[in-house]
Amino acid sequence: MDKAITIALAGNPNAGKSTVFNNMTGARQHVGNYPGVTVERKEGGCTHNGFDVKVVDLPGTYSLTAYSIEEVIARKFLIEEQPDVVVDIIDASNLERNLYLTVQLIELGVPLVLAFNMSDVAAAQGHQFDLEKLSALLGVPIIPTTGHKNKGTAELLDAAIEVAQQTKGTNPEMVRYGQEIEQAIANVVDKLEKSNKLSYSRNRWIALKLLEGDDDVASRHLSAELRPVVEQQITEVEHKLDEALPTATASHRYGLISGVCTQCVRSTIERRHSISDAIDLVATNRFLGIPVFMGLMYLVFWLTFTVGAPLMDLLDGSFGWLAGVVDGWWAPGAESALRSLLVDGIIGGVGGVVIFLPNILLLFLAIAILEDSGYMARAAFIMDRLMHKIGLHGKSFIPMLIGFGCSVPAIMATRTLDNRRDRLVTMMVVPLMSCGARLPIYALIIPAFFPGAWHAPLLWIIYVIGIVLAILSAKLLRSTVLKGESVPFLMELPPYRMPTLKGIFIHMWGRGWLYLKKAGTIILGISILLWVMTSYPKKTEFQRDYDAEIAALQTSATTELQEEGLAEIENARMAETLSYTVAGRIGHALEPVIKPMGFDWRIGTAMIGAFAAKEVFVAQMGIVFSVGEADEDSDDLRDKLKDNYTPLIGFAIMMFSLISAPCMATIAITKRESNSWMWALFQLAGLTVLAWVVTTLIYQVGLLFGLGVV
Amino acid sequence: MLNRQCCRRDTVPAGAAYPLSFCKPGQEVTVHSVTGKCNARSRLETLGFVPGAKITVVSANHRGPFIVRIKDSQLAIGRGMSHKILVG
Repeated sequence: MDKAITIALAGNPNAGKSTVFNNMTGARQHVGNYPGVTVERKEGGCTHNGFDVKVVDLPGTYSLTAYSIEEVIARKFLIEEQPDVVVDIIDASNLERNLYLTVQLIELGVPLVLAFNMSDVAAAQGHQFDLEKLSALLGVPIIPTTGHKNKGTAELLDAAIEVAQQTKGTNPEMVRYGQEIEQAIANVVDKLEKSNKLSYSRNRWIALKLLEGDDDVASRHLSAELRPVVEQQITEVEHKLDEALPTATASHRYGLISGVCTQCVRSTIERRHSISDAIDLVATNRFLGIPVFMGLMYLVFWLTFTVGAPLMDLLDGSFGWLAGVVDGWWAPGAESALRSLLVDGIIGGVGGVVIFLPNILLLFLAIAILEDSGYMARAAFIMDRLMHKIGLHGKSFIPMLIGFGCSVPAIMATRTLDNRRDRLVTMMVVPLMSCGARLPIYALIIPAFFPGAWHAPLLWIIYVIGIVLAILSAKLLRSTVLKGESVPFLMELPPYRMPTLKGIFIHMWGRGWLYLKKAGTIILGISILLWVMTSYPKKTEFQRDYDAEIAALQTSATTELQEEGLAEIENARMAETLSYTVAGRIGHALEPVIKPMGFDWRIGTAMIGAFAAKEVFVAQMGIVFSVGEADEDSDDLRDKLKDNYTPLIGFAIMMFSLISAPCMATIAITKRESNSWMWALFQLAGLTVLAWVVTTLIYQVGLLFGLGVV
Repeated sequence: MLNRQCCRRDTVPAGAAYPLSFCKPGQEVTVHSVTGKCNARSRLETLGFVPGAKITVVSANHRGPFIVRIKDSQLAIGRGMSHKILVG
């Protein structure tokens, strides 16, 4: 007979909560070394000693005030869903600050166990702890754990289950706030007890929060009758203490903590994060910071391309071979819809997307290393000055950096921003950070039109253009529709850590797997749909009698003229066939709009497909250029692009893909996170218009300089 | 009862306080008070910027954000905020 209990994991950002969660549940949640990795609460489960344990990983918080969304989510869960036990993960190397949350959890009266994490790091820094004494002073059990080595997990579960079965809460009067504040608390509690049936400890907590001016608690518990009492108490106490009430309570909490720490912690050596400091001397240097950041980004793209290229060729070759094998099932030249669906639609479409897997894996490998090492937080710091100039602050830069991977988690990560205006602006511009799904488009186009030495620099330039446009758009939004003061910058810089191989591979493989899954589901479906649209209705009556023309050519002309003429005739036939299909008709209808950007109807149809998922662009180009061909020759898609378009058009395609309407998933997540269709549609329309304007400008100016001719 | 003895023992007299933004790298200072709006102040207090807390300035870029060390952690603080933290 299994009994069920719920454990909530609380703790400071970057204290190792996600690692402990993974250890407990066996899940593979991404672990990063910067604050705000867990933006949403995540759930997992395990069985331990005959108990069904549900584990809920709460967002990391420093406190339980109502000033940020994470804190509100965490607090709401603790109060409303009443988990059987709360495990507070403590970063031992940063004990005092971590205990601040602990003290607040104790005051909230929840059943509590402390996981004393990263004690190895703390020991290396020369800290020694008297855990028995600490446990006695705080009145809660403490279990030492080493998250990344999976030590102490079983003991932690044992302790959590034991606490969950007791009914004993913590001591709500752990912190005594001094005579004036205590008197005020007593007065408010008195009033609360007359109007509700909550426990003393909960009422004490509510009273304290009301006195601290907590809006969220006030909206729930501050009745019209209570309001004047609370206001009067606040005025009186603040007058007597000559400081703001929340400041006084924070002081008292930290006072208690430093008292506890003097008794339980011994620091033997005065040496802290010295390697970290040395790295920071360069990484956050006022002159070197930005060049180092730009250089690292360049390195990321260089890695993505040069190391990825041979692997990609290998995959490309295998798909070509597969297409050949499948093609061989039919007699040469035979007309078969199934053959075309398999070879052109599925292998051409999905295969065209899958071959970019090495690039995706390498990009995420690089991002994972930057994240896990702790560099990302420095990047935010370096960019703060610039971000400040455009009316945002450095913290907006983290969602934007995540946006290099995928806009969806990036938009979710805007939750770390406290101010709604900052959040909205960041959400609107995040899709301009070139996501991983756009990489296949660049990886297809760049080598098709440009010499090898240009590859990495071009890719880098595209990403930089995205960043610059994001900055300009943010500035524009901030000075028009989303005016207002921005919240000041305040962010923890975690010490640098050596990323673990396991962590990096979890991150990289998780992303790669998502990519493959997408290729096997959405992209497969859309490829089939696009193939149908590109193949039907079939044209049977042609304007010209191509077969007769070919026959005439073969008898009359010389070999050289024959070849030239044949190619022209085949192209004309293919164009006529395609124009007749659904995709061709849509593309042609769009032509007046996309012509100024240098696009023909084929690119137009691919761009429509790209709205479902950006990678589809590549798939659709593959389909367009293989459907309707007389025979399945081994001509590379890149060669076909090169034959049909100029480098200027290639660049225009990349620009449009970079800026234009993000994919459906992004629009959906923007709607959810902004809680408004208006903003989601604004994002969609705004980016599409911007893309059109910028691409048209580039193309037309390029033509003016004669770039489009060759 | 612990807190009664240890809180605010290092408080700086009001007259001697000046903004954190005046500090140079390597300087060790004590927090006097945090001014400014509720939200920002509360976040600073949460992170340990309470009267009497000791902070070390790690880096102070011209016009850029500050890096300070407080209670074993490094924090990056925006210019604007560094004007609002009074230290001594």
